[in-house]
Amino acid sequence: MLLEKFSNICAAAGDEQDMRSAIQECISGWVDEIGINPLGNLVAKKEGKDTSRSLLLTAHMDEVAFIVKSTEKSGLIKFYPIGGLVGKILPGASVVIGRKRLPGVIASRSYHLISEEERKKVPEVKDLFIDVGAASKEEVKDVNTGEYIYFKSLFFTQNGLHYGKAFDDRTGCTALCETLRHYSREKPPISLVATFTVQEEVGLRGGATAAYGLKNVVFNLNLEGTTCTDRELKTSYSPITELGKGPAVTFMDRTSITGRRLFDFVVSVAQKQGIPFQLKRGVAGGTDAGLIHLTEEGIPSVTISVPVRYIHSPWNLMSGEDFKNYCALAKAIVQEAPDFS
Amino acid sequence: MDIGGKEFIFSEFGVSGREERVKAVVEEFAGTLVDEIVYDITGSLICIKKGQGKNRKKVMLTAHMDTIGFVVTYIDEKGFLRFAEVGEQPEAYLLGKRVIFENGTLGVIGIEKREHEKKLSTEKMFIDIGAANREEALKRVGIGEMCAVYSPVVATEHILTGGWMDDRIGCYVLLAVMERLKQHPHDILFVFSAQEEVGLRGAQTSSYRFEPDVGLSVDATGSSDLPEGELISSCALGKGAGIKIMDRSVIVPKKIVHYLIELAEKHHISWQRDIMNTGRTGAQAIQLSRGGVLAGGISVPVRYLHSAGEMCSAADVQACIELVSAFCQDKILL
Amino acid sequence: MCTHYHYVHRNSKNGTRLEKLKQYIKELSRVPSVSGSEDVLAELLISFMEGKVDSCSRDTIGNVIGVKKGSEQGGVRLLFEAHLDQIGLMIHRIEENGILRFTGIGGVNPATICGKRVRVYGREELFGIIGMKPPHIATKEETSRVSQISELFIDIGCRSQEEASKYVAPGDTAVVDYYSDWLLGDHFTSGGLDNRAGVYALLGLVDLLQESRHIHEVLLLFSVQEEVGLRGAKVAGYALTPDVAVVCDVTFGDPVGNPTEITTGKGPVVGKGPNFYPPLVHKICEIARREDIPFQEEVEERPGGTDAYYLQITKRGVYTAGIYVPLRYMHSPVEVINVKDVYRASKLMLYLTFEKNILSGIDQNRGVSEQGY
Repeated sequence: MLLEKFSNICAAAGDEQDMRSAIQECISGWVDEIGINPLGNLVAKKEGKDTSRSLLLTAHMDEVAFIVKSTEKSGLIKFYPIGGLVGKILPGASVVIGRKRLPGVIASRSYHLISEEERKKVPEVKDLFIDVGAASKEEVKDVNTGEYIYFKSLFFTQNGLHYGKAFDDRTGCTALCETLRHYSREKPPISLVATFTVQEEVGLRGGATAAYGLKNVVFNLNLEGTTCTDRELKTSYSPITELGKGPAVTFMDRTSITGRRLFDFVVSVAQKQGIPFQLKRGVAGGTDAGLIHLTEEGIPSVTISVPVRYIHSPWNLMSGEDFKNYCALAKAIVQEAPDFS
Repeated sequence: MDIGGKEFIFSEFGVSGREERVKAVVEEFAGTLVDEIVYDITGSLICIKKGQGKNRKKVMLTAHMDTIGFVVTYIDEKGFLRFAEVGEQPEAYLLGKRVIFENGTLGVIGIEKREHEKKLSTEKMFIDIGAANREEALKRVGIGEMCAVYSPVVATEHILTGGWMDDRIGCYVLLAVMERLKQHPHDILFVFSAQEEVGLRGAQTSSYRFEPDVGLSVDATGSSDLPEGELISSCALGKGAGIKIMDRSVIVPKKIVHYLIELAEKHHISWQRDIMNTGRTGAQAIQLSRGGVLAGGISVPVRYLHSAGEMCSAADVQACIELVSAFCQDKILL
Repeated sequence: MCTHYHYVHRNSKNGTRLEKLKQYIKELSRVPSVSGSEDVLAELLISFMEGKVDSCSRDTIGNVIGVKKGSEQGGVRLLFEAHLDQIGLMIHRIEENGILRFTGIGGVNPATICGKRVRVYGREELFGIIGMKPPHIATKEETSRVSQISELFIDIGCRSQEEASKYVAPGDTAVVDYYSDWLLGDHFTSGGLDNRAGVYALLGLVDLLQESRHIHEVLLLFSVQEEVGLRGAKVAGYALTPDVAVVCDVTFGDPVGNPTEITTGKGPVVGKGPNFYPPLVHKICEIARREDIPFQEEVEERPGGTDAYYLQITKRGVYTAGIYVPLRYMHSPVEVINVKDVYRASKLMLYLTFEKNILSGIDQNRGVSEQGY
């Protein structure tokens, strides 16, 4: 299953090659041309029935991960986070390092050895280290600084819920590929530019270059995985999104405010097609749409996301039903796109 | 002070990203005064007035028509609304304020417990529109809708005060200049930009699209002339039009600063230096667009920025109108 | 003729080149160049480049841009960049009693400016002191915490606002004054070495280019206003649209409190991480090993902090790399570099200018910026 395949691939900002190859392999028979821009975005083009306009579809290939900062004399490895990761979820995590996917663990001192005081403190990333079983710097000489480190979590499904890593944003990549598959044998109503971006997690870098040079773009549909906080109980507060209520439509986040007409259009498509949906009820965070909508003369841009519990941690959780509806909404928006003006 | 039929600019609703109403009234006013009106994707309104000279330059003037406000993120069973800020605002300026929605619904910002007043956070605040329950509330407002603090501007002989002065006062200056301008050598693009308070967004796309030769942003700037006040801005009320030297978004090229000072002196317009150690303006969006554009700023000094009682001096506003007009009528050999 | 031969032969010139570098350092270390007021240094750089490049100019925001054509048709547009501005101060208000309140331009560290002499650029250059009470009368509280910039002031010796206004006006800039001295072991101390060190490296590169037949088109960018938001590089990147951009800035080489082991004297630092194109980084390290140029590596986990941030995302994207000069005590009046590191950075950049397969690497099918992706 495509989502499982993509979720298990290791790719982070600056190291997206495995996702690029996998996506290329997947979609090459479905599109007219594929290219890679200097930043590393994978761009696929598909001619539509109306060739005078096009739709830009985006999803980012990178997940949050780590990078080797240095190897110590002791054989332990120091690291930096790539993207938003906090120390709280790291001690005790299993990871894989470098192209050879060397197994390692993010060390946590034996519980018995930690004082009462210290047990209450959340470690900072700079105080953590990875143990691969080496006893000296010599034994890890094949591990170079700048190599990437990923969570070791393998995808599985249980009772209709999906578990795995990198749902932000392998879900978007999957939905985008599924949309391209849908239009593989018949032309989409208008031309499609499907861009799988890089380095979103370290500053929307691929997004900054994704829309440059494109002409007559009706709008950009950005596909994401977003926070679902329905398990955190807050009095009188709404969770940002809820599992089981369908894909979420963003009206505003820290990097963009969805134009009123485009927002209304997406909502009306969902209603018309009978696809359950919810609004993303929080304005934190940013997405590629933030830089895409301001590229050159500007493009209207909207983000739809599948609710994912525990994003930016080793194990994410989402509803299979939500994911199906998310893919359906993406396709429906493409199908109705010519009606947007 | 005679606002001369332009009151609408101070009272029409328009929060970042939802500026349609204020845009409509500006367009109506400008329609008879300019040659062309263009929209941009972010919601900005560009009014183009062609010049009479040969070798016409493209001169861009920007003022942002969006105000700060709030967006509704949740409506609870009892009909109270939770919200997030649109644009930065000190929490201390929110408590007990009246807010207005686009459709005219009024509300008040409340706080859960008195003890929360000691350490203010919008998480503990809510907007009360007087609805009995969620259902009733939903008849009037929805999630994702925006509102802003409602504090209508009052103009007296000496001062103007009220909410939304940042940057409706700049828009007012542009409208007044638009009215007065008869003879001018260059094409003037009056840009009423959108989404400035959330990141200079409208000014960015308009600058890219129109490729001006030179630009000025007309914005509100701080005024640090309060008792025992901290020094944030070098401006003071009543000392004239602010000629921008620097803020946190732009360092204006010296030749533009000197040019504007000379222009002000020549026309006997009172002016002062505008140096702010915080804040940002559309001048940055112009200056950093494409391969770089000459850009500067003319500012109206405003006390209590982003509060419901923003205050500026009528004389300063008049000076800004005169300086911007003088700029438009000049050959601008920079 | 293989490039190796050219360079083994010419390494005998290392001594004279180092002297030339020291000459630039002597002429330029006292020239102020606060963000937004870079004209004096910019004009000097243009005069240094005259006759050595095919064209040299300043753009709207003040960036200095030099172009030197390469010998081959199929060469790429290769940009070398260093920002020529430094942090400084701006006079904000003249108080009634003649003292000057100021604000910082760029990341001024208030801990390093207390009690220091400053050079104020008013009608003429004049000295001032950032005054500080002596320990005898200052309270314990005052001496034990760092004063914020808003609490400090510059004293130029005037006793009233009227008197001070004869010499300065709000908007005038100032720099914290410094001594420029040679320390032991080829170390040099001065203020403003962030990023004068990068400027020296680029000037060294320009001279080295005179002696070689480089194949790529070399663009030299001395950018303005980096310290206040990477502004010059953003617009220059758009206007020049290079294929490859190499940023020459400074990085931390502190002996104490440094999270990495980078230090001065061990060679320039090559940046690794998402902001840099891995095959290009790999190539630079390969060249360094091949040519016996000592170098160090630094991992940057998030793009930001140097002009590479905007250069990399210009238009469709640019292949970027960073070659940094290690520097101690950044943003203080007593920054320290090792001049050998500067020279090595120049050499490393030079080798790129005739590296035939500069863009070969893992992703063979990536385009250059003008392709439609």
